[in-house]
Amino acid sequence: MTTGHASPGADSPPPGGDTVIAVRDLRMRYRTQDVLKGVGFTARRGEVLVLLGPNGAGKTTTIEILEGFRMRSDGEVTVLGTDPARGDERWRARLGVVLQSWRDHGKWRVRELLAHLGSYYVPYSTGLIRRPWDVDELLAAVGLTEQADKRVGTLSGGQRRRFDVAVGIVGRPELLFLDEPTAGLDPEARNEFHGLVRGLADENTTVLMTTHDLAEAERLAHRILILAGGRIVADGPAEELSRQASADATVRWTRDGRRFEESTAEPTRFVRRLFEEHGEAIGGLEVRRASLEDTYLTMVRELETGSVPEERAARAFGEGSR
Amino acid sequence: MSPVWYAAGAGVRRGWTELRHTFTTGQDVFGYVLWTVLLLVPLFLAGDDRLKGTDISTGAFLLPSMLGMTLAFTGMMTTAQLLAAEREDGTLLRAKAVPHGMVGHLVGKIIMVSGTALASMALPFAVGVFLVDGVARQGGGALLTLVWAVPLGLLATLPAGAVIGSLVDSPRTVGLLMLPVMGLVAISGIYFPLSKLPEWLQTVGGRSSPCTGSASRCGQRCCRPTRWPPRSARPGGIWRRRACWAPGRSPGCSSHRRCCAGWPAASPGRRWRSGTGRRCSGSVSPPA
Repeated sequence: MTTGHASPGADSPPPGGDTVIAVRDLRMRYRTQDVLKGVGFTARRGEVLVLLGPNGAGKTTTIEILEGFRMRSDGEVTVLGTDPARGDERWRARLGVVLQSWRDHGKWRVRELLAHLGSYYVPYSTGLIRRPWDVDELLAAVGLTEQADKRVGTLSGGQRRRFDVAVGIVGRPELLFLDEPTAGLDPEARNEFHGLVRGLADENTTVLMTTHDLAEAERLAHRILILAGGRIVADGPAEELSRQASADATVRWTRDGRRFEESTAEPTRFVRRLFEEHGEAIGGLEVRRASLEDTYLTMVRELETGSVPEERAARAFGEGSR
Repeated sequence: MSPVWYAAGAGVRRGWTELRHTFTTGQDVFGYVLWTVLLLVPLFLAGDDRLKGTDISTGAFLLPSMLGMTLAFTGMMTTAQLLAAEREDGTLLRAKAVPHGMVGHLVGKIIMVSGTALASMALPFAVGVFLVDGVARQGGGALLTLVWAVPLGLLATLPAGAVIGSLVDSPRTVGLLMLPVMGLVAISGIYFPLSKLPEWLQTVGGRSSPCTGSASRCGQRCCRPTRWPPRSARPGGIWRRRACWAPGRSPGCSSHRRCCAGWPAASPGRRWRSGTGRRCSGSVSPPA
């Protein structure tokens, strides 16, 4: 990413160190096809994790296994101290799930459905966490106060998505799963959504989300996981991934009125040499570090062409970033 | 209160809410009204004509069949359609995501489908009372019959609908399933005497119309308080398609026999066969 301002998510590591999600050597096989070949990662309380990966990489499968909706083939998984395959309803009450986009409950009114779904959480209210979330407060938090009495089926795409998020958090979850929550949101709604997620994280809610929007991942994530080829090939804060990726930085400059452009893995050294050689003749200097997008694309491309062994990639991104 | 009971309570509220939704949605209401109108047209046309060879009116013969068919259609097809649709649109997954949400969903769905079935039956029934000769003269005892026979019919058809709904892969498939069911309706003797059909169709209609059959059976049962299958044969007998069908001798009787043929009960065929003649005369007179 470009220098100058720090990622808002990364500058304040979450307090507390207790592990909310622990995944080790998770494997998933559909018939003869291995989708997950040994996924491993952990999440601490209050952390925002973003799961990236190409289509079909197994992001949704991973999330569904953690939600307890899908049985894994092998591996150890612990979510909020429980194996999701054996999670009871008391455990479920502590989770929030924002599903991929659906069209359900079209005839229900927004307030009506939130109140109804919230009512299931009443028996799980504790002194520490009052469940469910007050409906009017929640509507205000997701910006749907004006739509409270509209039928769910008449909401616009963006409103519907915010409503999905509201449904996901109505039980005041300790851990929230979001599967592509911002698909189809306009930039403004997206921005509001980011504020909402950060607010949740500030209240110590752990968030695991998938997205295809890399800028979003960069802004929100305390840590980014890249899932490709059935494994986590990168695990770390956004800027660290960019720094460590083999993606090159781009250096542009002009000399004697002519434009030059050069890709280099070591832009600082390159620029120093540039000035040593040409001194004052250099103008219009511009250094663009590899963005998360470049990093991501480079990594996925390398994995797909097989030019980098998966193990090396995992080592490069995984180890140093914890 | 335990969380399960709490969720069941939420399910009751859910059922009522969904009923309110369906009865305030133009498209749905149009469907109920259209269904009633479609049922009433033959009733109106047939009027008070005597059924050939019997002393009951054609209307009195048709009305219970129609009510039973409505019950079976709603109990089975609506359930199947709703389940298939709700699996596809994410409702079921949503229910799975909240604690004991499936309990609430189940209770809500039972209330919703039962309420829909009752409303779909009540409309043609109410009109039938005024339109069909002999219905209004039935006493309270006949009405009481409806009170237990309708829930029993729902109990028989709802699970069947749930099974169908879980097997098909989309609501459109359920729509396709309607076609053969409609065909069975046409040849099951609900709307005209089976003996007017070719011999082979009589066999098909009589033997293989469990859905429409159970529908009409229920209807016949509801409206005919005097003749119940033996107690031992009632519960669990739903799937026993007993062979008390046989191509009829007199038009009215043949279809009646068909109607009795497998309703949770299907008491021993022989018994019905011997009683056929008696039963047909004046037996079909829905309560008021």
